[in-house]
Amino acid sequence: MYVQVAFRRLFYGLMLVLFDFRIQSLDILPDFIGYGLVVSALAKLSEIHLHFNKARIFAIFLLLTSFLDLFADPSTNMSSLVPSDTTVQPMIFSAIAGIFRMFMIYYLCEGIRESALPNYESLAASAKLSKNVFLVVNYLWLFLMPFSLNVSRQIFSLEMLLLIPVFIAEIMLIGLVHRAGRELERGFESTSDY
Amino acid sequence: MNKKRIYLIILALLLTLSWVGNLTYFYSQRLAEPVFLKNYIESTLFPNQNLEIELYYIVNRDETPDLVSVELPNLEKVYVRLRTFTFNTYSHYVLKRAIISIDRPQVDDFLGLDKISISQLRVHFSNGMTKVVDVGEINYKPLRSPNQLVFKNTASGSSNNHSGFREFLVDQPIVIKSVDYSHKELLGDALRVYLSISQTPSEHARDRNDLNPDTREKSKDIFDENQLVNRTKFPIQVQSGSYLRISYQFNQFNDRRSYDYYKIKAHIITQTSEGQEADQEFEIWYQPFFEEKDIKQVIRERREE
Repeated sequence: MYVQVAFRRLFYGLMLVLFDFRIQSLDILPDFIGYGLVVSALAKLSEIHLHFNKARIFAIFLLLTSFLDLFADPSTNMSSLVPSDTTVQPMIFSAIAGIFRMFMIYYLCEGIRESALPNYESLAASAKLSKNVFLVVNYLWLFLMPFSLNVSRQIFSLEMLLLIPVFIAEIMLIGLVHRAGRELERGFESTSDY
Repeated sequence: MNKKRIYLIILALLLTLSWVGNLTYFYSQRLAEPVFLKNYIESTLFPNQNLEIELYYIVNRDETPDLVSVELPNLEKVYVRLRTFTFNTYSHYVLKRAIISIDRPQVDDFLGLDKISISQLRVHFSNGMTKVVDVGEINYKPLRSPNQLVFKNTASGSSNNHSGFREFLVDQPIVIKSVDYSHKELLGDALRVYLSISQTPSEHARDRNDLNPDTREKSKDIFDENQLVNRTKFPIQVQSGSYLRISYQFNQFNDRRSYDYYKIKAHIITQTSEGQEADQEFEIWYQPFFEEKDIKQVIRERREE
């Protein structure tokens, strides 16, 4: 049962982290709540695979950075349309968080994939696909991000096209976690029946 | 080393290159302070009116540091108001327009002077710095008693290809003693001013929308090389009922002058048969259009200076 509970917590945690729920510009469910749930879920899942523990280490870093984010000056919003001295620092900060997130998702997907084998090959294949899509899309995002400092906004609006694959990658990931909770729980239940 | 590791190293290197390259280029483009463009203005100071001078400058895209206030170094006691507006936005910079205003009571104090000249501004920036900057040459002459008009304006026009014309009907016999304009040495061949006299209105008086000097058929009567004022021998007798056309065309500068703003005047000095002299003014203006590469070129030149 704890596997399903942990994956459900992970599911809600990732939902809060990957999607921003805002009223105007106010983030009503800050990321640190999401990362708190993710860290707690991964702590439980560490018992079934070492990769989840590795993912937890990166999630702890992200939890700390999301705390710092709370105290950031709102005028230095990285998503501001105007590149400036004051947007560079949050941009670097955001890139570092992006790299940590990629590592966290890598180990999370690897943990699911290896836990799913050999009984749930389809789940393992989904974990591999979700991991690859997430890493490729987020790598491109990280690669293009600094160009926003130098390329005119009209050209850089192409960056917006990347939002669609990013969204798809996040949906795939959340779907994977939901499915893993259901299927791996069954697997562990049947193991414990013996 | 396995293939996967090599790919990872290559991807990490590419990512580092993207960040280091973009950050280095971004910081290399930053301006420590706004860059003022040169403005060459000749205008009239009117009594009971505020004086507003329009200047242009380039600032970082985030508009830091920007202008906070300005003073006139050669007119220390004059209080100057400043308003700024965004004129155009580029990838790293914004071209802004600054309107410097001097209130009416202070302007009235200048009316007894021959002229007021401004070539420098003391600018206070938002980062706390203060600097005296060159802004070109701005001359305002107080309005003297208005001349008796010897011309009737019949047509005028200007084009975004830096040309313009004005046509007058001369309603009494006159002598044109001279046609002159300011900043001749600076402008050289870049500005061509033409004067022509005929008994009929020009094509342009009938169709003022076409001022393109490339459409020579239509433009030949106002951009005729034989009618350049620099080649014209004065004085010229003009009969009543004649049409007098003055026109100008800025040619391709191909140098830093093309980045300056010009709002100057040509003066047609005339004398009537009674011996009365008049000065008919004709405004000549040039407003550069900046593309991305031009803005970068201006900044490069200023850094070299």
